[in-house]
Amino acid sequence: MSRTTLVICCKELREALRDRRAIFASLVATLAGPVLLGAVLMMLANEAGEGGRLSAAAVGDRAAATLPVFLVVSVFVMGMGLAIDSTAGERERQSLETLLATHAPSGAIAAGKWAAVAVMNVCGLLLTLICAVVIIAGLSFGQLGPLDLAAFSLPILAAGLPLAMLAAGLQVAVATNARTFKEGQTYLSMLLFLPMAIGMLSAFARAEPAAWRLVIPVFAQHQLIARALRGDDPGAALVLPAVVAIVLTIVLLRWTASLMTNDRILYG
Amino acid sequence: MITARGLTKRYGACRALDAVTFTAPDGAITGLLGANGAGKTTTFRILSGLLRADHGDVRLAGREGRPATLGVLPHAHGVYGRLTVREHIRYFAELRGALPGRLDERVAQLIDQLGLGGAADVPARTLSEGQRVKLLLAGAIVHEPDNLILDEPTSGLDVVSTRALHARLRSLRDRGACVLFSSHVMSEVASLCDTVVMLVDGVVAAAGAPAALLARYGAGSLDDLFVSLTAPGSVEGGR
Repeated sequence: MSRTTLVICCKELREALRDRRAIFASLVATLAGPVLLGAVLMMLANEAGEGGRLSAAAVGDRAAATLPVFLVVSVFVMGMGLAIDSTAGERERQSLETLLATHAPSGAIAAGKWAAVAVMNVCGLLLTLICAVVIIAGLSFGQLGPLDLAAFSLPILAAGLPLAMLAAGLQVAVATNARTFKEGQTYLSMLLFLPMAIGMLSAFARAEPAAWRLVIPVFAQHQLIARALRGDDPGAALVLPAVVAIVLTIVLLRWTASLMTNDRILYG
Repeated sequence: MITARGLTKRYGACRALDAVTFTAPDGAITGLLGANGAGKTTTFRILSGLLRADHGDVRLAGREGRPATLGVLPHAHGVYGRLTVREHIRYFAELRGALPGRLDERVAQLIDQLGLGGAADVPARTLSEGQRVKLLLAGAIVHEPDNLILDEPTSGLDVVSTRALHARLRSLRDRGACVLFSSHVMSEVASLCDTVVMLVDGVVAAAGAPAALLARYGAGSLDDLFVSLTAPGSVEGGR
């Protein structure tokens, strides 16, 4: 990482953290789903314990089926505002021209903004993971087995981190195409449907996916996380999806860098 | 020194610049004059390396054999509203790789010189238009560039701020920098510029020292000269 990239990344994060309302909104957006799901599942688990309609095992199955969707979506939520603000927002506020006039390399500018968004996305993943741990721990108070935190969290992080990087690359590239904050918001909200749709498709797919499906980002991570939640270590299966995500991230960064040198970036 | 040679730029069917050629020498303030839409901002964006010309090229020269450095104050005065003035200037200094050893000292010096002392630690979004221009100017000169390009730096400024900016540009010139700025305020140009370049519909209609231009065209003032050059059909005669 070049020094310029680091300077830009730190500046973007510093500005983002000062926008308290935006941070609060993205925290709510990240945690609303998992918290709600956790509350519902824990209620069901309590009922199951008291001889309700569902068995404890069935509640655990539901948790394992639903949590992966929230985990793959979580890497797209926290960084969304920053991705828009630091690209389309800068175009709209006309500060991008001043930045480009410094002749900082376009690759370093793209990478700096990407890195800041990736940090936010990783925070989203960590928060959701904490939520998942709390949910599973809460369910374990019933008749589910004890929670092995390391066996459960490490594969999820190993699957989720490359996806958070890819999500940041996609968000920064798409938002750089937008001329205003509002336009960027429209695009990135649509982009959010991608992990949701793939996550749902994956949730309804057969338990053991065909190997080629592990090449499709989001789908692959969903499958890996689902396995980890069932206590099944994905092991070497983590490698291919990570490589795919990193390669795609590099491609998206190069695209963003080329957009930064395009004449069109200066015109509204 | 900034040299533009045969700059030509088209936007679709619209010809924004046509073979724009001029030189802005070191140790001088050069004014680029033009009506709205004459091509000043396009010229500056090409000179700053933000746009590519369809034809022609730009040469920048450094002083005493150093690599040429450039500072740019763009037309739009967008700032990072949640950074303080100090952080803002520091950010641009770091992007330019300026003075790594004594960065804080240089930033404090600029804040002092530009009269931003009272606002040094407030968020940039609370600044007035004049303070924004000063802030962006600080970012443009923090690395002590040989060449400085300012696109309508005084538009929207009050008299006091305008005078302060003029004084700053003169002191940069006196230290040997090449200062190129655009304006459509003739009195400003007449009092400040050593050389003027008049741009009419993307073509250099006249260039030279203000007094020499007035003598050559027999005009009483830069205002009169500018109006006569801008009148329809006069460009060909002017060339």
